[in-house]
Amino acid sequence: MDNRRRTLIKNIACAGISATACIKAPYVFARQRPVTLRVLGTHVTLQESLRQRAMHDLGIDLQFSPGGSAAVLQQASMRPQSFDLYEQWSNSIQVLWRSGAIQPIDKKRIRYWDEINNLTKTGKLTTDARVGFGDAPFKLLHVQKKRTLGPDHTGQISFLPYVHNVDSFGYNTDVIPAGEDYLTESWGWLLDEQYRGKVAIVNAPTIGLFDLALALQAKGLHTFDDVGSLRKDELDAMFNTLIALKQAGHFNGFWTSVPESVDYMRSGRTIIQSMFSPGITQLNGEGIPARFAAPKEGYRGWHGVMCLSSATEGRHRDAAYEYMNWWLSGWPGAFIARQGYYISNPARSADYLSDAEWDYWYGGEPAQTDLKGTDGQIVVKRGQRRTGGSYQKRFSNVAVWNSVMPTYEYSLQKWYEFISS
Amino acid sequence: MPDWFLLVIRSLRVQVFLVLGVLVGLLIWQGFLARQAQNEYQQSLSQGQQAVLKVNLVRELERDVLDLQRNVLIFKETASPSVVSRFDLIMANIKANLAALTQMVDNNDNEELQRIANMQSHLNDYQVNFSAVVMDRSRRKEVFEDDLLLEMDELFRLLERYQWKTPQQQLTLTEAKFYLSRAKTSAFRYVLSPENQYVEAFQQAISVARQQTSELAWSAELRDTIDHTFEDVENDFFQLTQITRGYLYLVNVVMAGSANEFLYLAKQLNSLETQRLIEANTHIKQGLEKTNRQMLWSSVLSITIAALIALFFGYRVMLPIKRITSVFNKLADDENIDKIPGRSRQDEIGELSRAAAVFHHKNQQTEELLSRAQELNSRQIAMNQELSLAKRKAEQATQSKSMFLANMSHEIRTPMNGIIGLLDLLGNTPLNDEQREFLKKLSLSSQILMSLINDILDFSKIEAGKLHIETIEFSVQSLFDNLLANITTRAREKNLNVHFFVEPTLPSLLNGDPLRINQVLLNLCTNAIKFTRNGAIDIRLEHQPIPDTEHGVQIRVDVTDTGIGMNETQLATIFDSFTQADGSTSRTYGGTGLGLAIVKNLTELMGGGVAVTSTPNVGSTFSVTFSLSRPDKSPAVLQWKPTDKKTLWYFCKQPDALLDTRYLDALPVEVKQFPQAELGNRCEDIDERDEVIIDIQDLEQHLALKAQIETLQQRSIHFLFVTDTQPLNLGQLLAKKWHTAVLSHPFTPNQLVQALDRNLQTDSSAELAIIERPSKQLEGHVLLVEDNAINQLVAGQMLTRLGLTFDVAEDGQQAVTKIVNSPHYSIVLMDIQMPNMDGYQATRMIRERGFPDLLICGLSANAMQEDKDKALAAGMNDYLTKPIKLVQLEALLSKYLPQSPPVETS
Repeated sequence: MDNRRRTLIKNIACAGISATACIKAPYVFARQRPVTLRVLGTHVTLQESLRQRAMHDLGIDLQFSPGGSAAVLQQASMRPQSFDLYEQWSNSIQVLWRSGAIQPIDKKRIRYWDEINNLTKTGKLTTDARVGFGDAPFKLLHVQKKRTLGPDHTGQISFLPYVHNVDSFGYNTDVIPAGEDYLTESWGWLLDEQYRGKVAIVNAPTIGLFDLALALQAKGLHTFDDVGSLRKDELDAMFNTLIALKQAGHFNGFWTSVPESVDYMRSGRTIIQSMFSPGITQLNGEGIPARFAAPKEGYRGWHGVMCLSSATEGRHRDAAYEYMNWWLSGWPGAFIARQGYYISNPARSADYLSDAEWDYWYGGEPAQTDLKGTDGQIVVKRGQRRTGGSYQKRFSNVAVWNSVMPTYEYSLQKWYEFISS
Repeated sequence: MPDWFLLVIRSLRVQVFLVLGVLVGLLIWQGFLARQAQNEYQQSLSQGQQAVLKVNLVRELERDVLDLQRNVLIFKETASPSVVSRFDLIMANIKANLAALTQMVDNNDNEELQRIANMQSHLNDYQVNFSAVVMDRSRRKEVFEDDLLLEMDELFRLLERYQWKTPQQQLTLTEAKFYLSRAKTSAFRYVLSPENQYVEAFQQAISVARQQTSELAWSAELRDTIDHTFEDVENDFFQLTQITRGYLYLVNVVMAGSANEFLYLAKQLNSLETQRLIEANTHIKQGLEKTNRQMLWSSVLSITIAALIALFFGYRVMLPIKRITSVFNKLADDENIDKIPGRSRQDEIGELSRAAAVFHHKNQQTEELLSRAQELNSRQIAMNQELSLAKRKAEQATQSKSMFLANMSHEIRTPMNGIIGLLDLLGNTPLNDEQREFLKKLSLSSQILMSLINDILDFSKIEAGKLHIETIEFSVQSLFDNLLANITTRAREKNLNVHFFVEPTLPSLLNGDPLRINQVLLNLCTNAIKFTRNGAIDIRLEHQPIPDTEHGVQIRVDVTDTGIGMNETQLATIFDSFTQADGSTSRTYGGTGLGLAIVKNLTELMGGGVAVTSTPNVGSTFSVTFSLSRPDKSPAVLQWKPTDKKTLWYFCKQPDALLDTRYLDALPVEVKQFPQAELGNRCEDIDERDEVIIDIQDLEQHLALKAQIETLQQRSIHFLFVTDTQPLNLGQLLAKKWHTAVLSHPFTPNQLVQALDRNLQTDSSAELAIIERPSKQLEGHVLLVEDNAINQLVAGQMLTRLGLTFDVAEDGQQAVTKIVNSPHYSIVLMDIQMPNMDGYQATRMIRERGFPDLLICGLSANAMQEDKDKALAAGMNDYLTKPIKLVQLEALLSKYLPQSPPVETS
């Protein structure tokens, strides 16, 4: 049943009763005084369209407080009473969990738990998939008997698996000839001499550092035992090389937000750089032929986490569970699919996507029609194909997950040296 | 292209304007270029200056941001408050510089504005994050120094206080202390160098320390305290790491990123501005070169265009104009032209050429016209000569005609004079009735003939312009008397009533020609009588002053008859000469047809005119006017000064009163008017001093009023009668019966006055004598100078009848001789035309011989004024026109000669 037909049926069903009743009918708690739910997170998921839709669907008040990754993480870990829900990436889970800022989530209250795929449950979407280095989400999801986080399944989880994606780098095909998925495209391109002065990296050590590590490895400049957990000496060697490159003018900039990354590429400041999916989508929507590479070395994977504050209880906790359930109810998954993100229970979102959209975003098929983004602009032209192929194919090629390494503090120091050199 | 456009563009004027426009355009263009170049130069210059300023600013910004980073690093290590204030100072400076930079950036330079906005945004982030760092740094200090270390010291104190009882306990206590110390050391090391290994070392050490401690035997209370304290230590250390990680992340990643981005942007700005500076300089250089080039080209273009225009005008205008000018010169010099250049051109030159062609053509035409005019002129001269010859001939002919007329007048009048004179004399001889009747008719015929001759003579004179109108003072009364005397007789013959009315205020004396006025009135009245079978003739005379003159008087006389009248056609030609109402008129009524023509001419000569209205078989009214003047003192024609009369009673039959009421109004007494039948009733009212006037129409009326009239008579009341012209004998009858005055129509105002004064002589019975009898006898001796024997006889007879003696001289010569020899003549009657010596000559001679006072009267058949003037000029005293009539002669002589007692003749 496609989206249109569903809407139609819903409209027919509503015809006999009041609109308010229709909206509130499925949610019992909504009949009471509206609850204000405070959500702390980043711009990736704290989008106004989602807020409006959720408030409309749930009959609750939602307060979104988006911020920078480090800032929100610090706030969340130190002041759990300042939020109800926390939305960020899996690499923040260890900190939050250890600080006791979040409480375990009861799997039984997650309505669509059974629909959630194996990526987070077992770490492998397909049988022959690579697990990838670093903090793979399945290693952090389950609350173990000893209150630690591990891969063994229990009744509780540390976060709700929902938005996730694989990232790599983007490049302007007007300047750099388009490569082939998994064959020619390589992280090594980021360090290619011929792009000197036109390269940018995301200014976040838990992310950008892995881009650079993969690039160094791909170039054959360094080899790491575990690219997801670099040792101090490895960091020293790695940054020696990088600082030399930086001083040679190889790196043009270090972007801190998706709009900034778009601006870099659009203005011609860069031709190749670390990218997030929405940035690529936006550039394509503006007619800039940015291609999201499918590196033969594999992607850098990341997984969104939705955590429940340890200070949240009662009606607020009920509302928080409903919000979590709403996220997996289909529409939000379809919404973020149009930005290039995946949801942990894709099948439910398929109902809200056209066949063309589904085939393009999840299937990795060429677009049968022009496809619109969340802002209504055409972001995919008919015939275009998503780089890296289907959802399964992409998540079978994760080289490393965004991670907080044991050498995190040291890496911060090295990072500072690097970008300030 | 449309035709009009071609026409317009071909016009030289338009071309000149176009060319001028092009030149002006070039000038404006050059001016524009110069101005633009200057503007560009100034703009580039100011841009360059701006760029220098901006570059300096940006450099300062870069320096300051680097300084900021340096201070942040210092703060990270030392947490010194002075660094924070230093940071704020630098930040303020950067912000001011950024604001200054924003001011300097062109508002339209969005890219640069965006760049600065980005810089500002990064700077703000940097500041905000630094605040967080400052806060975290102080919190870390608190957590570490105030919480963690104190808690660990507390644990040490507790362990120190522990009383070990066994060596095992002592060992465990020592180990616990050892690990606690290690943990403390790790914490210090972490604070010094925040690395994960120290975190792990701390956690491991504290974990062991806790384990060892718990194995000791503590009181339940202490054990609780120790457990809690270990928990606090672990938590605080976690917090310490979190805070440290947070501000490290902020400083090392976020703030470093912001600063780097800021510096990147500043560097870009720097290079951009530097580039702009270079560009501005290059632009200035290029602009100057370009301007020079443009000026050069526009100068070359201007000169070329000017040269082309000069050539164009030389070829298109000057040359053709020169050619056309030579053509015009040739035309002006009357040289022959073969060809006119440029005629097919559409511009002004073409027009000039065509004009030259027209000029040429006109020149030829003028020449032709000139020769023709010359020819005509010579012909004209010849004609003029002929004309003057003809004129002279005509004048001579007119002269001859005048001569002829004069001669004829004389020649016809002389024998007629004789005839009439002899008839006159014959009438005085004893004749039987039949002879007398014949004689009467003969006399009448002669007179008609004479008047006919006079008419013709008059007309001829008018025609020849020889008729002169006199202006002498005359009495209107005598004019009226003369007129009425003439027409009454004729009217009586036809039993017609004649009514004569004169406006009472008419001046009694006027200046004019009474003879001609009389002639006109007589003519009209005679005509009226002639064409009226029965009824009445009304003559009314009115006057009015002529505007804008002092003494001018216009006299208007209406003569109305009840005659045959005339139709429109007849009226149209009535005043033409030799025309009567129709051809048959002359047969029925006789006449020459000259009368009205003469009337018309005479009235016009007297400043008036004649008009007629007429209805066939009803009658006609002829109106004539004369412009005359009156003397200074001229009393009104009706002047009555009653002695003691009180009231005037007038009994008449209304509306046919016989006395015009205007006469009554003019009388200075009270007038009471009643019907005749009232006479009886009013008798008693009438006073003896009153005057009574009674209209009597006929005998019957007289009979009816007889008794009343007798009463009046008995009461000695004065009364008089008024009757119409007819019945003729009524007046006589009344006069005879009542011995009172009777006014019979027509009468003059004077007669009315006389009647009122009882002076009126009623002499209705007087008949016209065929030959006038002299009323008086004169005394004197006359010399009659006359060459014609018959005339000698006639004149002699008349003189004799007047009781005068006379001598006769045959011609002028004889007359002079006789006078000189016997100078005792009372008067000399001198014929003008005589053989040997004419009258003029003789008169002059007599005057020369010493007889200046001798009365000499000219006699001539020449009735013209000039003859009379001539006579007076020659020295004559008076002049008499032949044929001589007794009355005229008597009148003349009685002026000069004494009267003797009348002699009654039979």
